[in-house]
Amino acid sequence: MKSKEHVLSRQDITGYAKAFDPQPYHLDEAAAQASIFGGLCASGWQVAALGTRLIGEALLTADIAFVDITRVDELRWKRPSFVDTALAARIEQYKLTSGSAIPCCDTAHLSVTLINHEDQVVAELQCQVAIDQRGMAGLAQERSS
Amino acid sequence: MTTLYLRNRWFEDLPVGEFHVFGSHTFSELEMITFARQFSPRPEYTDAEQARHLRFRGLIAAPWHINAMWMRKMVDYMEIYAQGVNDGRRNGAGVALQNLEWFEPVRPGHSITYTYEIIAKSDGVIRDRWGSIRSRNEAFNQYGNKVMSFEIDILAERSHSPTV
Repeated sequence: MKSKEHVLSRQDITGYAKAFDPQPYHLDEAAAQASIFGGLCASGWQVAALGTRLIGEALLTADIAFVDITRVDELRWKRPSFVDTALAARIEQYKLTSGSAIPCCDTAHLSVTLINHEDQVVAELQCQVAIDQRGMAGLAQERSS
Repeated sequence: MTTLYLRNRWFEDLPVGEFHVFGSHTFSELEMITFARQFSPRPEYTDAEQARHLRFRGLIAAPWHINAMWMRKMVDYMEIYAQGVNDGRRNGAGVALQNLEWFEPVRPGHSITYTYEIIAKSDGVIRDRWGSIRSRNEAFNQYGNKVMSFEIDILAERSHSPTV
């Protein structure tokens, strides 16, 4: 299962960095060129948050009632996301177990690869997300009541 | 005597067991909604009125917002305590995180305090220059309840490249 893409613009990257991760390689092109990353790139936390959004949207599109992420067993950042990277999430494994820290939910254990538009691996994560036990109808019902 | 701050030292000089409090942040409804519109665009996080009737019984912060603010507090801490240091002692890259868990919701007005402890150092040398520091990071609300924790491996520059 693959999500749609989201393009990380220069403004996306520097806007996030100004608020949450104001380090030179996320803010300034020249400083970033000289850094370990070799170019202006998104904060790893921005990649994680955006990746989680893409995971949620992919699940909802497949009629799986995604509520939220509850745990990350492991996340490995493999490569920088430079300006205009089109990020997508590929869900490689999906295993459901009963119960969740979030009421009325089960837990989906996911293995996910975040990839860029050249199909290169940006990050790998093993995570748990809460899925509404009542399904998509349950989500809709709760939000309309 | 040189004062020992978090990121004004080389990899070799950072001891396992060292503990820091990065500081606190009080989350406002506005910033929670602003973050969630980008990353968790669902009514539990973006619509205070509707959220009152949803499963969390009120607006809550998106999980990654709590971590975004951890990063901000760490950068601010370095800004204070590693002023003038602009090399790899201060600006290392994150490599991987483990066991990230969110334990209870953060709501508008909650004040979250972030702590950091060095728990391990790797023997490996990365790209001839870097060592890896593993830290345990925790976030507590104003009641003293843990709301989030994780471990992360961040690169720190070694004092000199080993002879190959």
